[in-house]
Parts: sequence; structure tokens; C-alpha cells
Amino acid sequence: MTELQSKILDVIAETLMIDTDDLSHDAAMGVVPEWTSFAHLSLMAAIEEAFGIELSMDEMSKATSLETLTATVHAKVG
Amino acid sequence: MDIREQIKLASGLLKSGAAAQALETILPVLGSEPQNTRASLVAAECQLVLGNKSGALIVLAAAGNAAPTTSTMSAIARLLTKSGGDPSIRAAVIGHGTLEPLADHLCVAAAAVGIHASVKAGEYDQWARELMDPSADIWQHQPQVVFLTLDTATLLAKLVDDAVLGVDAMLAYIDDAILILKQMLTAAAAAHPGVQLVVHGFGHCANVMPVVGGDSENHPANRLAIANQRFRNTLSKDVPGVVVLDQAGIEASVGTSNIRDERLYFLAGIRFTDALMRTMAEYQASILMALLGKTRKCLVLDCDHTLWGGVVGEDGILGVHVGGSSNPGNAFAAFQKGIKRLQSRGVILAVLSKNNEQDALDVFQKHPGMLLRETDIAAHRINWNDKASNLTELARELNIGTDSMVFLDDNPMERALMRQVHPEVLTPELPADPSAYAAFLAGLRVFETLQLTGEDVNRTKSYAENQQRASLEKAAAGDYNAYLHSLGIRVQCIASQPGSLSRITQLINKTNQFNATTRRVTDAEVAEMHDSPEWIVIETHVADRFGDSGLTGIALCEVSGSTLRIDNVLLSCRVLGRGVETTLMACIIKAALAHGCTSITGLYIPSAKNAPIADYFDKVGFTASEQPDASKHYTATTAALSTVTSPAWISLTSSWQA
Repeated sequence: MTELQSKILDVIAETLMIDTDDLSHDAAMGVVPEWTSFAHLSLMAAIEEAFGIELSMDEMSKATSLETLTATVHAKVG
Repeated sequence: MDIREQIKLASGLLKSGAAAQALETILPVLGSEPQNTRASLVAAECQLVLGNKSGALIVLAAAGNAAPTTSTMSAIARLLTKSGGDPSIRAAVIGHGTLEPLADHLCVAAAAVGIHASVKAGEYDQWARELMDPSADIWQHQPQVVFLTLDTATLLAKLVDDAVLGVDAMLAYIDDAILILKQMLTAAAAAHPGVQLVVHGFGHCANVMPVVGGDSENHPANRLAIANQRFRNTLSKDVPGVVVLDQAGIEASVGTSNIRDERLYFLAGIRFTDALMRTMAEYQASILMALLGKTRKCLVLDCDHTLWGGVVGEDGILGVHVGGSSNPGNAFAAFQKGIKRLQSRGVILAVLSKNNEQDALDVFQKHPGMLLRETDIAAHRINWNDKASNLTELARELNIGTDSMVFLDDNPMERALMRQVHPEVLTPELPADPSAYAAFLAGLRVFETLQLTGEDVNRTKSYAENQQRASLEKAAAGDYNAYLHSLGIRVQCIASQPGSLSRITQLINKTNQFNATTRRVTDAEVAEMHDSPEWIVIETHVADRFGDSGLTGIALCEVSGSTLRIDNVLLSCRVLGRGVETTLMACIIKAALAHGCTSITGLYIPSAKNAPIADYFDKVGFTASEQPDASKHYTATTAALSTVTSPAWISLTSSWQA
């Protein structure tokens, strides 16, 4: 797991108030019970704050899994 | 141990049923990271499991305060639903858009004022159907209060979209929309009696380009104000009991550029930012407080560094800073102005200070910059005793409960002591900087009474008059009877008048001590009893040589066949101990006879505070039968009660004729 992905996992766990152990590589909205569509909005705000980036509506609506979220953040922070 | 590991350990202990151990494990984590949301939630859940709900609410409110995001709010609401047991109030939030986040915010704002609210969110945009259809989900939740929030751009589209709408067409358009809302709310109020309806007024519209020039009356900046004015006037006049919240004002207080996050709006239909929902929820929570009779009545104030800058014992009477145009005197004057505004709304003022009494009183009397004078203060304790016992004495002297008091003191030690000895007293953190005092006071929304009545405004005056009565009482200690005769008490017991209904609701909901059942009511329920031929609502007005206490007593009676049932009877503590309660009972008996009743029944439900009314029915000759739940049912024939008469020192100016 990359450093970026592990940091993202931390933010997800913090926001959803669960343990990082509860999150696997296929973690996604709907797969993790706490990752609801409302929680997703808070998660997006937390990601923006943690990485100092701004996400567009389109990015927010697509970054609903650990994989896509990592790719989105990676593209922004380089 | 790493903090994360410790949270995990505590949450494991909690799951295995060892809540006390879990709490012991999690408290050090909260000590080092008070803002940790997860630790707060685990600690609160432990306290809920251990039965300490008020402790849990404090922790949850602090967590919400530290991280006011949608996910924190929803986690808190879920936890309360899961482990909180019976809520103190049930509410629903309906309207345009997605409402779950607002419902969760309300849950947290209620926790911050010590209320466990169970809040149901209406469905997206379904408010009209929900209002009109009694089978809608929100009514299954059995809400005692329903909040409605509407989108201006949807409901009043033309106001926003049609720049050339003429003045007459604009007014007609607004009135049409308001008329429909009025009809729906009237129907909902009739279909759900006893439910308090609260409507947020029209808010600002997003993404509208401001118009700089142009005509006056039809200027876009004017349209919203006109719509809100007509909305409020129509609803408060035609739909009794409906409360209208100033949505545009709430939005202005968070900044009209912070009303919504466009992405969340277009993604999920959420019309408000967390910051705005938080403030909306605080207003809503103040309504819950008023409905539950938890409104605070008295502001207890420290002197040095709180009412004025400096220390009178060191700086001298004229050396303390208050008033004038320079700082910090101007900041303290602004704070006192805020205090006087509260006083004009009926909040009682008391002073609690460690000082030589004469020094502090001299500042009130002689300092030219003081706005508060000694006559504004209903009671004071200025001495070197500890403030917690002094506060108990103040409560006794003012005849109010300590749980209706708010204590403001600049000294953290004094605040900590007060919180420890009197957790029921609201002791908020006063800001460290006096320039923030006035704004802090304006944001302290714990004095809300849904309607401001004449009695509120006279209350401080009336309390001051009570103090004079108390001195007279001391002077005549040898002969209490002579004292009562000297008061010249005049009492009026009459059937409820249409203009008194909101005061009646307010009195029923605020009276704790001399209140036979402590059952609370809504405006709608009172209106229903007032209109019903089976019900007799008696309002009691009391005056004496020192002043007019106004409408301070109520009896709610229901006639059924030959029996008159006293549903509830209560008197404000301001008029207790003077025989008015006997006068009121004599009037109830007369009313029973006038309706051809031969027997009367009564009910006493004990509460933590209503001991003063415990033997009321016994004293006048009712027979008690104690129930398993500790309440008492009373019965008596009107013949057996024929000896009950109003005391000789009370002149009854109008009453029922038997």
C-alpha cells in the first residue's frame, strides 16, 4: 500500500468513525456499511481538508471507492 | 498505548458489556484529546448504558461543537436512537430538499441544551403531502413539534426570476402563495391537535445577481422582506399557535455567502451548509426548550470584570470602567445594554458578587456610566460567602428554581464551583475578552418564550414588588393574618378570554411548583379547551397594593354528566402563600354548581418540584386514593365542599355565580 493510500485510509476511518482494520482494498460506498451517501459528503470535505485540494462535483460523485478516490487525489497532489 | 488502540480497547469492553470499565479506559483519551469524535462517542455510549443521560448529552454536544460536520451529527443522532432510551421530545423536520442532515443537527443542538430529541426527517420535497396526509411516515413518529422549511426559489419563483413584475402583480403573487400555505397549515393544525407547527420564513435565494440601480418598492432586495412580512402577519393572525422563524435573519447571521455548498446542493439536494444548519438547529432547539418548560427565567451576574472593568474594592467606586466612549468601559456598557434588553423581555436580574456590599451597591447608585441601577436588580447577595450557597438563597428569595437560573461570571474557578455544586444552573463559558460579552449574550438563546406577553414584561417589576412584600411580612411577623389583610389582595376568577390564550399556555408550561400534574400543553390544545362546551378554563388574576401580578392562576376543568373533573390546577409561585389557591378552589366549586355538577374529581401527579401542591386537595376536603404510580386521585361531593370559601382578606372582584 502506498503512503498516499494509507493516509486516505486514515481519513476514511476517522470520518466514518471505524477502525482502519475494517477497511480493505475494495472499500467503497455501500460496501462499508458506515460509508453512506451522506457520510460520503463529509468524507469529501475531510479529504479536501487533509490534502489541501478542492474536488469538483463530478469528482465527488465518482470517487466513491478507495481505488477511485486514491486515483483522484493522486492526480491532484501529483 | 496508542490512542487508537485505547479507543479500540474501550469500544471492545463496551461491546462485551463492561461499560464502567470502558468509561475508565476512554476518559484519559478524552482528557488528552478532548476533540476526538470517536472517543467522545464511545464515552457517551458508556454513560448512556450506565444510565447517565445528562452526562452523555454534554459529551455529545461537545463532540458536535468540535466537529460540526454531517457525519458527526448523524453518528450522534444514531447513537441516541440506539442507546438513549425514551426521548424527552419527538420532532419532525419537513420541507424542500434533503432534510436528514438538518434533523441530525437538531438532535445535537437539543443535546447542547440538555434535551434528548428524537427527530424524524421528512422525505425529499414531500412536505405538502406530509402536511395533508395523516398516514405519512412523519406522523407515525408522533412528533410533538413539526418544523417546515421551504425553498423561496421554488415557492416564490417569480419573485426571483421575473425582473419586470409590477408591484401589484408581485403583491398578488406573494399573497396567493401565502394563502395556499395558510390553508395547508390550518388543515394540518386541525388534523393534528396538540402538535406545535413551526415554519421557517423565506430565505435568501442562491445565485441571483444583485440589482444595483432600479426602482424602490419592486427592487429585488425589497421583495424578500415584503414576502416575509406578509407571511408572518398572515400566519400569526390566522393560524393560532404557529411559530414563524426568521430564516432570512438566521442566514444573515452566518453570512449570505455561506448559505449553501453548491456541490452538495447539486449532488444531494442539501440546501444548507453545516454552518447554517447549526444555527437553524439552535433556533429550533430554543423552541423545544420553551415547549418543555425549560426556559430560563433569571440571569445571575457577577460584578468585577463582568458588569464593569476593574475591581471596585481596589479601584474605588468611580475607578471601575463602565460607560463612556473609550474601552473597556464602552464594551461593558454594551453588555449592560444587552442585559437590559433581556430584562425588558421579562428576564429577572440578580447580582452575586464577592465584595463589600456597600462598595458594589455604590457603583450601581453612583457611577455615571452604569446602565443597570439597583432598582433593576430583583435580588442580590454581595458578601464573602461561597457563591453556590448564595445562589441557593437567591433562588429561595426570588421563589424560583435554581434550574431556571443562568450564572455569568468572568472567573473560571467560580464557574467550575457552580457547575459542580449546581449542575442544573446554566453556567456558560463567558468569553475572556469583554468586547465579546455583548455578542455572547445575544447568542445565548435560553430565554425563549414562544410569545412575549404583558406579564413577561411586568415580571421584574412584580418580583421587585414581592421583595417589598417580604419586608412588610418580616415587620408583621407576629401577626401574619394582619399582614395578609394589609395587602389588600384583589382576585378575579373568570372564564378564559380569547386574548389570554397564549398567556395561559405559557403559564401552564412554565409553572413547576404549584402545578397539580405538570402536564404541558400546546397553544392548539388550549384553544380547543377554550372553544369546547365541555371544558371550563378558569383564569385567575391577582393584584394587591404593591402591584398587579396579572394572570397567574389557571384551572382546567371538564364537565361530564354530573361530575366536574379538574384536569389540572396551578398558580404561579409569585402569588403563593396568600390564600389565592383557596379562592381558586372556591371558584371551581361555584363553576361546578353552575353546571349542575354534584361531584368533583382531582388528580395530583408528584414531580421533583411540585411538593407545594401535594396536600392542596386534602386540605379542602377531598378524599384521596393513592395509585400504584404514586399519583393520587381525589373525589368529593359538592355538598362536602360547601364550606370552602375564599379567605376574608381577599376581595373577589368577579367570579362564577352558583
